[in-house]
Amino acid sequence: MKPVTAIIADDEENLRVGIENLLERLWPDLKIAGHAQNGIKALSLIEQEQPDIAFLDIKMPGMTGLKVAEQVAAFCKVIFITAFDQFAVQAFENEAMDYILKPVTQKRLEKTIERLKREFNTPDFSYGFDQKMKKIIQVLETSNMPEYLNLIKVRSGSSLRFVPVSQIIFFKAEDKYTVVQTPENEFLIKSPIKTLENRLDPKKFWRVQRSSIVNIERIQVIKRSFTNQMIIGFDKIDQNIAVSRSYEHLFK
Amino acid sequence: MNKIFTSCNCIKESVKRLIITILFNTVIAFVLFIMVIEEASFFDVFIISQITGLAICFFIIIAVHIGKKRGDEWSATGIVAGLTSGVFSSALLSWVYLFYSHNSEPVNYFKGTFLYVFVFGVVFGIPISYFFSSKQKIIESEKLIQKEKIKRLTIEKEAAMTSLRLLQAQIEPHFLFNTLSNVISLFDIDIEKARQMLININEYLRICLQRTRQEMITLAEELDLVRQYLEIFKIRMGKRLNYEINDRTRIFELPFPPLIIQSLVENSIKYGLEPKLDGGTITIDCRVEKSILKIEIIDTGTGLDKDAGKAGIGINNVSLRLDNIYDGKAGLEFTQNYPTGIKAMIKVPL
Repeated sequence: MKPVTAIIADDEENLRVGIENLLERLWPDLKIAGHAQNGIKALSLIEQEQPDIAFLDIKMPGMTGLKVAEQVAAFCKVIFITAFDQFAVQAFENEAMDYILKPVTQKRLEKTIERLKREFNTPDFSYGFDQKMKKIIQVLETSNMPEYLNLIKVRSGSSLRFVPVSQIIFFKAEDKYTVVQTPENEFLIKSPIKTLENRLDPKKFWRVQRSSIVNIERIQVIKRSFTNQMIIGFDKIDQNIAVSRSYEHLFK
Repeated sequence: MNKIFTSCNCIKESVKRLIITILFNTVIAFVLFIMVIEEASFFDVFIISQITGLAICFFIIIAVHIGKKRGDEWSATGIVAGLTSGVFSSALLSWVYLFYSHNSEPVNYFKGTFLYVFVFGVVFGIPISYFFSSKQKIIESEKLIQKEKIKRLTIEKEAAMTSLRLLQAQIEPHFLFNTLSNVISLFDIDIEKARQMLININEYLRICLQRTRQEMITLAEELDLVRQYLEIFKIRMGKRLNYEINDRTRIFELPFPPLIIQSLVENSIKYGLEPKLDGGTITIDCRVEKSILKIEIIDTGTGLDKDAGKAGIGINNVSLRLDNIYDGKAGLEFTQNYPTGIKAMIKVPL
């Protein structure tokens, strides 16, 4: 009988060697076909070696373990390795999927090995890119994306700058551009207000009229003009922004 | 105490309103005397204007007080009722005044006075009461907005303080578990490295737990914390990470807030160097120029591509903390580093 083979992919060498050492001890018959230190190498290694099992770290440079799994799970059994990650753990538990948590303990790995051996011994065993895997990858890929912008890329002179959104007082549409106002500077960016509105944290950035979004943490006063219109004043800069009637409810 | 203060305010407000009303009345008297009524003496016009204005004012105030009890001050019905009662009663009073002061036929004056007072009372009364009512409404709504704002700010500030305390006390679990995982592996591979890493973790946690509860530590302490942190990552990432820390400030015990440089370094590793295939270098440079402490944190990582604006949740916390601690006088700037990576510059007054 052909020996069972595996590869290990993790960007930290110590962890790869650590897992290999444990596997050697607990499953002497398993043949480790190779190591990969990033997602791209993992993919080519799997394609080259055609292992039965791939131990994949989720967070890897080049390509995440999830992306690698998407490509190879049809012909290779994937076991994810992850450090503390509540989304991942939740997803694995929900789908009753086997995974290894860092730091890897002997007891946990023994359980995984037992299950793997049992699976490989069932006569009608096939890898199959099943629905379980598909669902997990989908859930994790969306949960790993941070939702809102934290830095805004602007051009200042010939160099690029990144402005933390908390420094921004307001965004205001002007012609084809959007003005980004900070206490000291004014930058022009190309993203339209509408796009920005969707990508900024709505708890901090409020659209107060068709052409402006304000950072509510930077508001100093809210006044009424003679015509009873709501006007927002900011500290440090001498500019006001009027609130259109349809957005007044935000401040009540 | 508060009650006295409020009633004082109330009296002051009433006197102010009374004076404004009298002024309005006097102006109206002038206008009427010069432009409309030619046959009467100015004194009579003046007195009648005052009677009319004050009566209207009096009834509207009563209407407002009644309205207040019902929960709707300055209601349209109240103002109309006040205005009407004011006009009728002042017409009556004016007639009585003229009757006694001139001692003439009551019937002649009744028609003339009543008509005049009624017409001018309505003509001037409506815009003036509208003016007062809308002004009052603006004041009320402004008060409401201010109150709401103060409430919101207080809540926000409390939330911010709590999360700040939590943030400072927090040691990122992902970092901790990955690091401990390394130590366990290292026991089999390189026992000396394992020992070194445990010393680094110990030192890092000690500074984190002891120092970061204070608002200010020293720059040297913060750099020490960062050094431990980077040493840990150097073992974890191997050849993929290099770092350099240059402190050229030459000031003993220079005060600096904790976990500021650390957060930016953490950000550089997480979003710049770890995702990069061949890693890179972090350089930290501290110097003092013209009484300003400048700290540069440069990484040669992936930099910010089209979508990486999402990266760096810690950055905005750092920015807000610097703003709070240095009262808006601190600067935090991010620029592109050439050929790759990000350069962060912190500037704080000494």
